[in-house]
Amino acid sequence: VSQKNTESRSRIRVLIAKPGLDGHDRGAKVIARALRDAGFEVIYTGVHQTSEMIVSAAVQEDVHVVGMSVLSGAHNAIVPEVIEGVKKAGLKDALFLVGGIIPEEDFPQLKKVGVHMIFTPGASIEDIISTIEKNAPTRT
Amino acid sequence: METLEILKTIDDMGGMIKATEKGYPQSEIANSAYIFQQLFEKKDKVMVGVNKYTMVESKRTVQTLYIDRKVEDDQKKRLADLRKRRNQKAWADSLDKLVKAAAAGENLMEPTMNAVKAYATVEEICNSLKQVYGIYREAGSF
Repeated sequence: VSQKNTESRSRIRVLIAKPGLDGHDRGAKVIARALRDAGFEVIYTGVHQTSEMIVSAAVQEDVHVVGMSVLSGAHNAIVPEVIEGVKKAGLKDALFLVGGIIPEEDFPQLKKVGVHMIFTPGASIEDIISTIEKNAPTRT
Repeated sequence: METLEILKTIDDMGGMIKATEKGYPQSEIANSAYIFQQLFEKKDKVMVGVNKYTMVESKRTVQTLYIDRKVEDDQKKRLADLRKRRNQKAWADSLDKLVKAAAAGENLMEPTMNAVKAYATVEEICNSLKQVYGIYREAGSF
């Protein structure tokens, strides 16, 4: 992972969240650490978070990016709830990303509710980093 | 050798429960997962079909099974109905006994069985035990 741009990255706060009854945290932790090593400020929620808990963490930390890791199949129910909650709570410009086991036929629906990008197995860390760099909101 | 060293580290921490409380096994697993990911991305570690020898997948012939939201609504109705129907006293007593047995460190099989027979739900049984034991909260380290 390249170390360039670490200064501009350090201004970007990323929340990595594990919503719902899904204990598979290996990927989420790998992503959290990779993003931290790349220079971003990363907050990891831990497993078994309700949508409300994730919304409240996003608001408290005033994050620029919310990354949800879902491997339980509940993404269609949970992701829209979190996005709606975060936006209602005032972070209207936040960048939403989803990672995990997501069937391709669900992509359009998730994008419609505001997910910018969906990363499935085999996605590279570099891709995730550049997606965040290009699309995270800048706040003054 | 490495295994013995790890076991010694855990012993020195005061055993597996203490080590888990300190987040030791969690951070070891996270470390090795992270190292694996880096090797994987450099293709120093090969997963056939994922980062090497990949192929264009043919169209899936199996449809994804989507569960209708109505199933959830129906179950909620059934549950609400059960809560009205069950013997309230037997239900409350069974959970009370479960909590007392847990607090006393007794065998929980019988009181749990009795709670189930009194139509206590899994959630109610878990919440009763949580009153006594609390719940595990992970450190959130990565």
